[in-house]
Amino acid sequence: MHSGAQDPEKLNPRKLLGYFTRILRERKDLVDEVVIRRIISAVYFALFNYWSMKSLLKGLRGRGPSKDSFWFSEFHQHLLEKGLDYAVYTIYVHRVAVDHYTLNPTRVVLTSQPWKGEEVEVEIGGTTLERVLESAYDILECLEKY
Amino acid sequence: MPYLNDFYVNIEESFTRMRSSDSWRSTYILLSYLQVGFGMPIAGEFRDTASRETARVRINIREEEVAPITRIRQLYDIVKELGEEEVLRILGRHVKGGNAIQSIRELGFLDLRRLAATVLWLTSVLGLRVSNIDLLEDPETGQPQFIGVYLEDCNWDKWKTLSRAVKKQLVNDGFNDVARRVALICTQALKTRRS
Repeated sequence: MHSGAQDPEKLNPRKLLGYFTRILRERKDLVDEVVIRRIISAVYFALFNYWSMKSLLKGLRGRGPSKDSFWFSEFHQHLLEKGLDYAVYTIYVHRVAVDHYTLNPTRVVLTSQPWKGEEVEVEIGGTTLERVLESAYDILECLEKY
Repeated sequence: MPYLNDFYVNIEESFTRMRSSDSWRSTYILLSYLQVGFGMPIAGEFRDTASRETARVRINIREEEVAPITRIRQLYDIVKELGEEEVLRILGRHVKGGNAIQSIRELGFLDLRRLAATVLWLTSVLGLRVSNIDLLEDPETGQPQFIGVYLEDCNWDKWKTLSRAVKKQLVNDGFNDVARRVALICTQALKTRRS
């Protein structure tokens, strides 16, 4: 079983978050909308991968040949139970916006059926990124204790 | 005024249907009743007539305050005795549009009575305003993610505090399933600052 040799901390995204925080603080000249979009998406998936690894090593089994592919819903629900609603929703809605929507600002509907569901106005910018990073650190703190 | 469809009206049953209130803070006890007579209301006054279409019934009731409800479990104990229509009515009050509640039910995503008890707790005990209830799905897979309970008058700091406090209470009361599958959402908090 591959997971036996895995160290969960090798997927801990703390260094990645630190790198993005430094860029936002010290190199604003490098931060345009493309960079912000990719950072938000990367942050979401980095946290998801870390949770997946820790869950796998705790015995949770996903899909795929190595049973290491998990659903987003399991990740979200783990965090929601811990009271991280604000962090989960903030990162998730912005991740969907940066990956699937083109305009900025835009209106996002978190459903596969666009005729139902709450529409949320999302703007992708430096302030958004600060909130996403704040949420990411709170999620990371929770996952490090998991 | 009980209408006589079949000549007989079950007074206790009619009263039981009338006595539920939105506040959940008091209940009405039916002490006695006395049929006054057949007749009909005319210009705001009840007139005895030969008509057997309506009857006036005098009832004696007593109002009693119930012990203050503070726990979700107390509300759930009440809600679980309600019929499905009543539960749907409780939830439907907070749904803007669409068929989220129906989807939740069809998918078996969460027990609707537990969801209703939670929403009642948020609104009646915590005094929060719920503007919508939605079922959020992943746009890539279409898989349901969690139920969104949208709150009004909620900034970023309040959202953080509420998220943690409400989920802690849910877990303490054994409502882990609700804690996992419901997200409190304050979309206003996402709009407060502009970049």
